[in-house]
Amino acid sequence: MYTYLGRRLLSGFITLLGVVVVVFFMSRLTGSPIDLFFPEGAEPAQIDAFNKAYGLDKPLAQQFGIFLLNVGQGDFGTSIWQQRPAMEAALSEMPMTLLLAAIAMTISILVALILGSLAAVYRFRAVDRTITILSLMTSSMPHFWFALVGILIFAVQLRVLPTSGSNSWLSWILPIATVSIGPIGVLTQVVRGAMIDVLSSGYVRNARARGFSARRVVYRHALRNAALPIISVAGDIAAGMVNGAVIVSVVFAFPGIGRLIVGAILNRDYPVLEASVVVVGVSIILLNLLIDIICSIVDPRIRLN
Amino acid sequence: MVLQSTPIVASSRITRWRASPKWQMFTSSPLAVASTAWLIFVVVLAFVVAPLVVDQANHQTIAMRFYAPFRLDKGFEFFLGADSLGRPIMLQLIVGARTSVLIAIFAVSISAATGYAVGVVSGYFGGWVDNILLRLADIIHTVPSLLMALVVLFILQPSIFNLIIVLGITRIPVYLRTSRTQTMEVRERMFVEVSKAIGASNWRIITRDIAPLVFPTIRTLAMLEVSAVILSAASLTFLGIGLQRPDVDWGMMVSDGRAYLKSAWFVAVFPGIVIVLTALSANILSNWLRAVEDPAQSTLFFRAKKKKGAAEE
Amino acid sequence: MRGFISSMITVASVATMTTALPAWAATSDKAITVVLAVELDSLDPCDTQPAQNANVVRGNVFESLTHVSPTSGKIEPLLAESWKQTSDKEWEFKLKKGVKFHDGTDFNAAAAAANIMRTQGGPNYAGIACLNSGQIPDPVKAEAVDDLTLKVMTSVVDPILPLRLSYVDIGDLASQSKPAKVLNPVGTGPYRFVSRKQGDAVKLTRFDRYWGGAPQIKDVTYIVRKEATVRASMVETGEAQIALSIQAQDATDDDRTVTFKDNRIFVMRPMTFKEPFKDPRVRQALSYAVDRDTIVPAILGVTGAPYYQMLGPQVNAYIPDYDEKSAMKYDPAKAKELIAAAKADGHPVDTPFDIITRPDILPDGGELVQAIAQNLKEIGLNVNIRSMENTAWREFLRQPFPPEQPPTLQMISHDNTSGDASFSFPKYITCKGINSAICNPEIDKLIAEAEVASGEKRAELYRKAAGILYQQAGFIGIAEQIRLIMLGEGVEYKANPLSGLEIKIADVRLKD
Repeated sequence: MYTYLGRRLLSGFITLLGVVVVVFFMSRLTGSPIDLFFPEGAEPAQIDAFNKAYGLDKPLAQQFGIFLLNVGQGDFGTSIWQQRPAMEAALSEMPMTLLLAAIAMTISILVALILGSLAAVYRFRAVDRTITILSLMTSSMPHFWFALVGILIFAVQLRVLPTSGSNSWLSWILPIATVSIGPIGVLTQVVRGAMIDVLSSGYVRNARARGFSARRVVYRHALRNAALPIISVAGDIAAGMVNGAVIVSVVFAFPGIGRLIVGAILNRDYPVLEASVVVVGVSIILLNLLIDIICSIVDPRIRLN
Repeated sequence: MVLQSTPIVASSRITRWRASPKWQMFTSSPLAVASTAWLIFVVVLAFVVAPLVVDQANHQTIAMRFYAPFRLDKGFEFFLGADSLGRPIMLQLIVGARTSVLIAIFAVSISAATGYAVGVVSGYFGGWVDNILLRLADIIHTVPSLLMALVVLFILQPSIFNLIIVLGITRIPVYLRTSRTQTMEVRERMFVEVSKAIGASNWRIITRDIAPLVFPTIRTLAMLEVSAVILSAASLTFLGIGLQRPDVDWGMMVSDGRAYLKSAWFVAVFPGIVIVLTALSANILSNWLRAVEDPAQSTLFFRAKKKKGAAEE
Repeated sequence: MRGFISSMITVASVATMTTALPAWAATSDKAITVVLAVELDSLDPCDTQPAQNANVVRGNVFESLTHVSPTSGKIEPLLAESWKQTSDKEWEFKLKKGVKFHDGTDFNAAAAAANIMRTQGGPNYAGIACLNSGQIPDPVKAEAVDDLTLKVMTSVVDPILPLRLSYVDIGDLASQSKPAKVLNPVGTGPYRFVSRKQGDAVKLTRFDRYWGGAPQIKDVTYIVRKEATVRASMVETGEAQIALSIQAQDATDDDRTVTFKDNRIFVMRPMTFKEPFKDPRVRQALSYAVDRDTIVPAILGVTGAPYYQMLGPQVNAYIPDYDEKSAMKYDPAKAKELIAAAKADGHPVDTPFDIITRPDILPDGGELVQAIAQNLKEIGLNVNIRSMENTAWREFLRQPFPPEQPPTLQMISHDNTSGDASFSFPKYITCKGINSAICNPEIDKLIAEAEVASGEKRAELYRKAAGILYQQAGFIGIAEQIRLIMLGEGVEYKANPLSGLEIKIADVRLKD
């Protein structure tokens, strides 16, 4: 068990390293932050001083070496744009996104379990067809369009929800709905498929023959077995949720790492960009690890592979 | 749904195909038919009609600014209204279709072909080659695709070509993983060992024995991915990166209409509807294809997604 | 007896309080939210020039020695009570007495001098890179003579020094031990800085001991929403009380939408050093090609009016009868004629060129630029639009213009609220100007002369230079921008030409 854990952690770490390197070089390619912070016609002396202060005057390879050294100590440098340590900026925005994703994921799973089970139990009937078509539709809908239509209907026409921001709990509704709409569609299908598999299996028929009620069968046996595919799909969904969070942060002006990254790109703030990508990367890697662990506990065959 | 057996006497290929289970499945499902019809419609618009209307689509007429939809008095092309510069929305949708279809086809082809080929090779040979390739795929896969695309497209100039490249590359890992996993599974099978015993070269084993078995999964995955790529491209252009006028695609149209939600809702809503319909059709069709592959699970040809990731590493 | 005395004291204090302010504007506990388009990026008093910073802190947290009057356009005293020019290059300023910083310390000449020196950069303040430094192109030296007397020595003869000093905001720099940007601003204005959360909000609160009397509104929160429609909706739903940079399509017909003009002009700048713009006829054709009277009202609505010069009506380089006499108005036939003439002389007039613009260049700017591009295509020019974000756009704005760079037509939204062309012309139209794409020796000569002249003579020289500029089509005016602010229910604010830079919350009233 622990060697498995160890191996996964190591591979995750190597991946993370790769991501950081790629982001470092890519972000340097987008241009220097100088222009943003200097008035038109700044003195060369001022520009030089700025470059020196942020280490931008050294050759790229050297910058990279210094960067690696600092990162090894957990120091991502100071944000040029926000004037505070880059990692602090990234870590301060991440909780919001994690919270949004966690709530959305929970809601998605719950809704998917209910709808998917219903669809599986009432296979072929109207309920099934409606649910399946709806879930296909929602997984085909782009986040931003759902967000805009949501704003149009609920905020502009009906005036029941705020258009943006994150002050009241009301302002969370549309963002959460936007982020979960796609996953609900996908997960409903997964649950449905897994439940159908299980419900038609011999051992469930056995349980029914023994006289257990349908409901008990579904809850106690079927769901548990359907859990595995759901959990494994969840990892892919999580990454997709970060994408959704970026859109949400732009359309709803919702706080979170998405807003920070877009801002860092526009402001050429390398430290924040790198720190944010690392934070997102670590979160996803840890999440995938968690999912793999859960899967391997539930199904020992995977571990022994 | 009853599966009919093929009649023994069949006078032509078409008649035979018409009577085959696949076709029966297809025609008996209105959804599959409708989806295919829509996709064909979009493709025809994109490649046949679009080149004819490009100039008209991009022509600005200030007097027609925000011309309301559902009226025919100014001509058929203004039936869906006009945007903020008086361009007919219907024609813009058609030109946008060409952009979106091009992007979808090429991006999916690039990522599917690359992921498929590299995955098979990687899964077959194993060893450190496999490890490195998997590592690279992980790296691309870890950073959420939107972010990756944001950064890359920010550096590059906006153009259809760049958008295709970025979307193509960021989606390779999905195919690579699937292809690799399947290859590893097939590799252990008896008939491969037999081939090896006979003395077939690695190349032959890969191309003749393994690849064809992996192909159907990739094909199904690709169809599903078409919908995802259309949505991703729309998201990127919606955020304002990747494309610039006069290139236009549906996501950009939604973005342009965002400021006019109250006064001219149709500028943003029509392209949005088209995006959903197209992605939905691609989704339905890919589900149908999967059902065709595995009739045991085909309940109205909707089935569960394969378990991904559980059997790796 | 006690009751009588205490009620007399109450009456007396109420009387004093209300005599300090207009009677109907007693202080309240009200708070308002202001929604901006761009986030503030610096709280430092020496970075207040860009609008995103000025909107929050200028006039609220910080003040300067002098001030441009929003009504007359002339320079007026603020923290400095009076000044006189003692010699060619020496000025003496007498400062206001009894002004306090938010932390209780006294405002004095030493503080003023420190801010003036710091804004310019230089050896003691290297690496700070103050954004206001461009307003003082030739260094000045400031010294405190005594607590309330400030001596300023200029390195060149500069008749508009007091005007320049209006751009130097005064903050308490005592806590800055080493050169760094101020993160906790302390000024003399009616509002005190409370907090700033990056990407979220900036909060200010009333400074009760403000020398001009405490303002009505107690707390202000500044938030940012990039979407103009969202800003407008926030005011409608009551989530915010003031919204800046509203677009025409969201404007209301009532008095909740306030307009002002801040001498901001949307102009095009052709690259005169490269074909196809080398020949002035082609550049003139650009002006004749654009149908301002159609596209500006249609796209900008109430936010713009067709315009033909580079600077606004309040600036001394404005030519009063230019529109009637010499403006190059829409005439596509003439435009084609000019291009044909240039072509006949061997100029490659179909060289492709790029329009360089930004998505946020002005409200509805994206569409305006597209309409302009179509106008240019209609006269046969080979144009391509490139919209890019701010930093990249600025790279195209500034010299040098390397030979491998394609020829450009830069879209610029330029404002000048100082009333003096010195803040525009040297940078934009002289041969050495950092943002200049034209080099005309006559223009340079006139500007050099104007810089050391004053009053009407100065204005005349600038006008002459402007005349040549327009005739040569070095800068082509498209629209005068009219800015919109949306106010919530019960909010009163009279916008003025400076509202693009300063929104003084002290001027905002809440009806009860």
